[in-house]
Amino acid sequence: MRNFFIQSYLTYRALFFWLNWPAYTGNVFLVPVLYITMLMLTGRFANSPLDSDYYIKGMAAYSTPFILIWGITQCNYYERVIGTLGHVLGCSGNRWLIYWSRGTMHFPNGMLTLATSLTFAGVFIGLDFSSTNWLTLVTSILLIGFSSMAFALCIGVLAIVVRDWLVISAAGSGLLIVFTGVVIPVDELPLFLPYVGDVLPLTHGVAAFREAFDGADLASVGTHLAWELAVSICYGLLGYLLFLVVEADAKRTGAYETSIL
Amino acid sequence: MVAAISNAVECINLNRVYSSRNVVGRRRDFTALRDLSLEIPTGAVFGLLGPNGAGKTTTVRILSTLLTPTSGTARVLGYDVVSQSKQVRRNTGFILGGERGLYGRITGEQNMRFFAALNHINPNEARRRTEQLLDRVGLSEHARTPVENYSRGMKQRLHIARGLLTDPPVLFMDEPTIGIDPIGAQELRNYVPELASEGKTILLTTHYMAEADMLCDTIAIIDRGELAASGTPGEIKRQFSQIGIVEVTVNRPREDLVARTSELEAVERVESSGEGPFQKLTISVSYGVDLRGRIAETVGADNIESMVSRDPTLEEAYINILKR
Repeated sequence: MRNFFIQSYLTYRALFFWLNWPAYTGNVFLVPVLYITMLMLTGRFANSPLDSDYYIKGMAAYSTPFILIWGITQCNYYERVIGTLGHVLGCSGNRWLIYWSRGTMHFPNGMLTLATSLTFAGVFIGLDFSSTNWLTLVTSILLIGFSSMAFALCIGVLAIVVRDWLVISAAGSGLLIVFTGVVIPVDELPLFLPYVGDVLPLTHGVAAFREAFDGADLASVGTHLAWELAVSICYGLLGYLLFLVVEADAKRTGAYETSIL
Repeated sequence: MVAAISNAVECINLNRVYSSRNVVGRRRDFTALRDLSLEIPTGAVFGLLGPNGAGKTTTVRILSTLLTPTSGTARVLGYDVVSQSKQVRRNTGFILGGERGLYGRITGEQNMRFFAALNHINPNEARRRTEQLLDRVGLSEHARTPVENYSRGMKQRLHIARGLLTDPPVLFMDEPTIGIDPIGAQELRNYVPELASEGKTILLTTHYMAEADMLCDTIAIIDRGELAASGTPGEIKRQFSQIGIVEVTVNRPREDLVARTSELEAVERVESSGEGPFQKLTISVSYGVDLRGRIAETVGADNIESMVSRDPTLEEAYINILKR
């Protein structure tokens, strides 16, 4: 386990290019606060039937996958670009641990940015915590973090393949903002689109997260939490399989040691 | 297992074809290796030489399990590189030349600790080995400097230290001295006999003939993916070059001397270079033919400062083999 954490910590230090004060504070603290403010004001001035709390809670929850997706995909991308991917694939290390180690240290960032969002919302916008069931809230936050990490790791593998983290991150975070109910209630989506959210992380996590503010206990949001966990496991396994496929493809084509198309 | 194996590395009819598709989907194939067979005895320093694109790096990548062969077999310490890749990885280290392949944002020590963790080395043991290896390659003082601040030579030494982390019995060194200044390159070369004396089998690819001549017990020259020659450096020079060299230092340089001496029978190639106020002609002649008299006539006896016959260098033999 110590080796797993050494790997996690050092890949994070080596490959997370936002790990400098301006980029880190900007992305972990400032961006979520701006997103919450922007969506809350947009909703208010667009005469949305939803109250401000809907956007505040939704965007606070969304801040976690945001930082995890953009952080993890860039790490995977830089692994290929700086030429260390071959050395990682050429070692005898356990692939399962290598895969998960790429996300572990990003998890606290997700928690930190969500905590910042909620603190900001409570102190400056007046988000009401008086009825909150804290156990449900913390559980849903942890599950949102885990599912976001699993999703980010999964699409992060694609960043290795396509040699671009911006497109992958934008696509991944765009999917979540549209289909998971963070700003648009899932039931309001047309046709089959409400079901898209069921196979994405965050949808059920954010539903439980919202209910926690109304005092819902764990049992009453159990289905949401179980679904969020199931989605996390599916993305975790899918991403790992993709990683193995990429490794096999790298050996077959020899193309993954080049950094340019 | 290791002690029982006479050849640490074996390649049998190894082929590797790279395929790519252009924008309209048309497939293009490039053959990097063509029926390459070679054997590296356990404990030997084996040089793999060849021009750019000859297939040296492809061979190293196949042997270090980073690439699968299109057909043929490769074994390292008896383990098949495709079906027993885990065992191969546990027993090999690879050192690639160049600036890439290291994490620039973290220190040299952290790079070592990371790869030790990746290879399941116990953290305490990893700390000990890191310290020892960084000291061995002269990087102890810079252990806590981010690698992005390292010079190219320092990065290369870190590559070597990393390749030795698992103390592998077989080492693949792909152009380890490329782009390094002469003193740095010499320092790196010193590691090869040192490692060989520890019983390691080393496969070294290089462009530098003097390096191969000095370091390798056995050499294989490959060209366009095919084995062109193999043997000890001495055998290559004698048997495969089939030339003798006459070096003539000319007092009064003349442009037409290259063309005139080239016309002589049994002359295979003439190269001209400046040597202070003199002109130096390096004339490759068919092996066993004494052309000194004819050369003196052609150049003019009074125009010759010196004339020496010698065996070809490995570089000359190499050029001769590749130009055949």
